[in-house]
Amino acid sequence: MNCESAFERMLDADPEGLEARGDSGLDVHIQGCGRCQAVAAELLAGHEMLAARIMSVELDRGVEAVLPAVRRAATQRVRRRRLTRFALPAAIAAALVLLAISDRGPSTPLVDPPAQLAGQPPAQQTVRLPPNTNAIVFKTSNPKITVVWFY
Amino acid sequence: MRESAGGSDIPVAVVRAAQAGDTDALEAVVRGLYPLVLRWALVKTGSAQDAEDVTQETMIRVSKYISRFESRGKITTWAYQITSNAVADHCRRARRHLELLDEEADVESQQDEVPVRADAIDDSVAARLVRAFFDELPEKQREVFHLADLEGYRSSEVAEMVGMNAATVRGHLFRARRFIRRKILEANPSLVEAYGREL
Repeated sequence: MNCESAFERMLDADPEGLEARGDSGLDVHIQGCGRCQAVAAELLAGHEMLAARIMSVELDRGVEAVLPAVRRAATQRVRRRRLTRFALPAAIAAALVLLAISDRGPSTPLVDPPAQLAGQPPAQQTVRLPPNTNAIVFKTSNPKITVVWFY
Repeated sequence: MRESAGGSDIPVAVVRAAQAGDTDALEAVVRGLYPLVLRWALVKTGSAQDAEDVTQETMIRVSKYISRFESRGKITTWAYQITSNAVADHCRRARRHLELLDEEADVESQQDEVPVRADAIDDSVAARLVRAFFDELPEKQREVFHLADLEGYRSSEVAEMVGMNAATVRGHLFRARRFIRRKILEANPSLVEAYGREL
């Protein structure tokens, strides 16, 4: 490789390529050529200078100025997480309970409390049919148990 | 496993703790990302003032959406994409603001604010180089060159960060390198004259 082609390749090489630590054609040429070594060193110095200038730009506000807003955003996020983790399932459960209650029809009890007189056997329980509902009554072998099927 | 690309040294465990709602861990993530985001924003906007605004917005978005970060990826790549979106939003707002401003006088005052970057530095070789970097290099080339050659990200990482394919990244990188290196050598013409050529 001659200096002319080494120069062209130095314009395209990775920064590591300019360090010429390997055994590629360009590395070998730079290692043995003072003039190309000087160009490579100049290019690397230029890169470092540019990086340092970009890093050293001083700004009015530092990270401390950002942290209060970050904390606020984090607090809101935690609240949202709590809401979705606890409040939302609780709300869904409550809604299901309400739905189940409303499906049972009127809030009046299905079974009237039995009236019992002193010294008498307990009065027979009566069942009130909810509106738009049919019922089948099954007597069981146990005289104390009667099954009422609403449909 | 530690997240270490590009100078960020944020342990994955800290990121996970931040995702789980640990405020101290979130602060550690923000502190780790802050200098990187600031430099990225500076390179993308070319203005210190805009970079500060974008960095603040990016840090708030990181705090809000960190639970969406998938820990299979690198947090720097994720943060870079958030920065890019914040820069785009900032530019859109600035354009809208400019459109609302009254004619040329206001436009001139805006233009005075933008080149904060190099004008404050003395007229040295470094200042000329920085000015050329910000004023003459197209944004995509500037962005790719900064990430690959000045911050040391691999080409594949750069491609993922900027959302381009690897071939496009290489194309931008080669053009940017040639431009910057010619500018560097312009400051020392005797080096080039020795090759019997001009830049």
